[in-house]
Amino acid sequence: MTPPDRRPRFPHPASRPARQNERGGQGGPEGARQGRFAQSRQPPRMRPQADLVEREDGFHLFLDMPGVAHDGLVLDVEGDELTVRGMTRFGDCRDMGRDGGREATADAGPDVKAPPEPAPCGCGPAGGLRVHAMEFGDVEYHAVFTLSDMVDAARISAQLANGVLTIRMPKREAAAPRRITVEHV
Amino acid sequence: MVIDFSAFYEFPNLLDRLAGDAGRTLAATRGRAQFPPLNIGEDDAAIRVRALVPGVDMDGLDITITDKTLVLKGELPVVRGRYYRQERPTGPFQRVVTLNVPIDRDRATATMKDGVLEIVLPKAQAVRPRTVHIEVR
Repeated sequence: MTPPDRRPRFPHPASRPARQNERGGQGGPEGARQGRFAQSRQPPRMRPQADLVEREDGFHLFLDMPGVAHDGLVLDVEGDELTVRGMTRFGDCRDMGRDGGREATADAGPDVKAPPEPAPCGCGPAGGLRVHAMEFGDVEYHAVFTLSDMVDAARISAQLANGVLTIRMPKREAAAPRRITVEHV
Repeated sequence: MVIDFSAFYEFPNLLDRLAGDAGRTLAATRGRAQFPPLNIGEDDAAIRVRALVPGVDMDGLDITITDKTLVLKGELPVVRGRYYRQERPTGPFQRVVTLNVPIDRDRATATMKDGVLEIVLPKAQAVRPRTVHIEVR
């Protein structure tokens, strides 16, 4: 569905993807992904899927961040770096993930020997809600983008609608094409 | 177009779980193809289905409940402009959840918040657990 590779070749507002699993995921990336709902209380950190398009008025960055409320979202511009953070609050029981228990015991290694903490929610055999399928859980979205010189960092604006964060990055005035009129002498 | 008949009481998943690692590659490829991701839970009164559908508003969603299935259809809009990066999925999607209990269709509700769709399907009265006292003589 997604075209094979349309990574940005040039203007790099978004050319530096955030490192995934910065919180030191154990095991390979696949193992960390499958078992991540069960590994710790701290939600896993992931980079939201992003679209970057250029229009006449500037660059537009679209980030899929479903489950992030308005007050759970922080955007920082520092120098030429734009940092996006967002926390989800689904309130689902992470211990009930489809592969949760098996992955945690198989992959976790010696550093996760602590007894499993009780679930913070009321799920489970004794609780009311029984989970049949769990394909998503709480995450911390985190992404760092490097702004190009063409972007006017002072005029960046953002809005959140339907779980999609839209960041508008207007081009600097100087970067707009300008035709020079030749004067008659 | 993604058509996926998996999810609720899905037998292949149970096989995956039994087979342990053997199912993992399958699960990995399947995880990418499935949109939207679903959480399905059940309590005594209702089945609760939650889906991550960022970028779709309520009008763009088509939720159909039949006797045996819940069908979730919609289309992800394409962003206009010159792409430098495209990671977000676009196009039509569909997921079918098989229901194994009768649903009170008239009282089913769907709400959307922050790109998370929550569908509550109350179970029909007949199948809810009841406590019946039997007199012993």
